[in-house]
Amino acid sequence: MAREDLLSRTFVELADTLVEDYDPIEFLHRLAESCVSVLGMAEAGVVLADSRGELRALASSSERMRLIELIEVQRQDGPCLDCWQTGEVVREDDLSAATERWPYFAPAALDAGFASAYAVPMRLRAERLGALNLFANETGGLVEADENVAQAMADVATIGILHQRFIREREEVTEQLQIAFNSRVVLEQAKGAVAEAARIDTDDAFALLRGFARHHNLLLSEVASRVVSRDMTIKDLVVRAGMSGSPPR
Amino acid sequence: MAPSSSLARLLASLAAVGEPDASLDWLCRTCTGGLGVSGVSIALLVTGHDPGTIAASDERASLLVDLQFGFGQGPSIDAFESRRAVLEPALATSSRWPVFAPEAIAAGAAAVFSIPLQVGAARFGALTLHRDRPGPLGRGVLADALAIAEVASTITLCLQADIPPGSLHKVVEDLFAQRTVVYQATGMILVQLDVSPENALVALRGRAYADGRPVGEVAADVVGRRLRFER
Repeated sequence: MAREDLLSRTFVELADTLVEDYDPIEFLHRLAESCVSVLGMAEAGVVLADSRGELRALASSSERMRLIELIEVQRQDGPCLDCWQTGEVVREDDLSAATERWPYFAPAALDAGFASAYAVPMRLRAERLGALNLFANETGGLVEADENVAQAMADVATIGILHQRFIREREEVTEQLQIAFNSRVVLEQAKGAVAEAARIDTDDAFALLRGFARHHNLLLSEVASRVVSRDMTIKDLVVRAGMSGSPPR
Repeated sequence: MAPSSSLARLLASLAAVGEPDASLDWLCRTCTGGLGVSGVSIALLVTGHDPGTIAASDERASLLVDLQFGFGQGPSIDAFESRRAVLEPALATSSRWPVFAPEAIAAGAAAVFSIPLQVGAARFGALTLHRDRPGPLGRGVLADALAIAEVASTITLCLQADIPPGSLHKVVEDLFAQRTVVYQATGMILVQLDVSPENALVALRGRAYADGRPVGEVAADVVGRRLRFER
C-alpha cells in the first residue's frame, strides 16, 4: 500500500474510534501501533500529564518501550520530559552521543537496543497534554521529512484525549444538574406529604423537616427522601421533631 | 455526521450572541427557520417523565412540552427513554400517544420530532421540533437537528457549570418555580392515597385530564385543600 494511503487509512481508523464511549487507552495503543507501521519506528508510546502535572506512561507499543518510558518518567530524564516541558519536538539521532544529555535515559535505551529517540508534543494552543515518543533501532530513525507526519499523529492523539475529557466533564455537570434538581423535587414532595399528614401548611412542614434534620444531624435532603419513599413515617417525624434521641430506623 | 454549512453559519452567529442566558431561546428561534419547521423547544427531563421547557421558539412549542408533562406521554419522553431520535411525521394517523396526539393537533402541530440531550452515559433532556403540516423532516435536516441538540446540550451544561454545585441555573430555577405546586401536591396525594410519588403524579394527571384542566391548576386545588384524593 502506498504511504499516503496507509496514512489516510490510519487517520480514518483513528477518527472512527472516537465515538461517544470509546476507550481512551485502547485508542492510544492503536495510535502507538500506527506510528510504528506508518513511520517505520521500532516502538512508539504516549506519555500524558495527569491532573497534578506529573507524567504517566499511558500506552506503549511494547513492554520494552514501556520500561524505558517508566525510567524517563521516574528519573525525570529523557526526550519526552524535555518535549513536554518545552512544547517543542525533541530529536536525538544518535543515543550513544546523548549520555550527558540524558544520564539515566540514554544508557537504559541503548541497553534495550534503541539507537535513536524522538518526542513530539501533544498540545492544543497553550495547553500541553504530554508527548508522543518514537524510538528506532538504528541511528537517525526519524527522517526530518517525517516529522510532520509524526506531529499529525500526535495531534490526532491530542484530539482524542481532549474529546474524552470534554465528555467526562459534561457528564459530571449533567449529574450535578440531576442531583440538584431531584433533591429540590423531593423536598417539595416531602413538604406536601408532611403538610398533609400533620394538617399544617407547607411552610410549617418545611420548618418541621429542617428541625428534625438538624436535631438528628441528618441532611435535609436525606430526611425528605426518606419521607417521600415512606422509609420514615410522617408520624415519626412529627412526634420526634425537636426531641433528642436516635433517628427512626 | 457532518453538519451542513448552513448550520456552521448558525453556530457562528450563536457565538456572536454572547448572552448565554438568552442563547437557548435564540437557538430555538433561529433553528425554526433554519430547519424548516414551525417551532423548536428544549425541555429538561430529570426523572424521565417530567419534561419542562427551558427554552422555546414560541408559545406553541412551549405548550407542546406542557402537554407532555400534563399527560406523561409524548415524543420528548420517548426520546429520553430510548436515547434515540423519535420521529412522528403524521400525528393524525399515529396511535403512539393516544392522549397527547389529539391535544397536540388541536394546538396546531401535525408532525413532531424529538432528539435526546445526552452526553456519554448521562442524559438530561430533549430537543423537540414540530411542524404545522405533516411529512418527514427535509433532507439533511435530521443531521442538522442532531448537531443542534449537541449545541443545546453544551450550552445548557455550560450554564449549569458556571454556578455552584447544588444550585440551579436561572433557566432551570424558573422551570422549577412553576412546578413547585405540582411537586407539593404530589407529596400530599402520596399520603392521601398511600402510594409512591410516581403514582401520586399519575393520579394527579388523571384527575386533570378527566376534568379537562391543566395539571398546575388541579395541583393548586390540592395544595389549597379544595381537592382531596380518596383511596
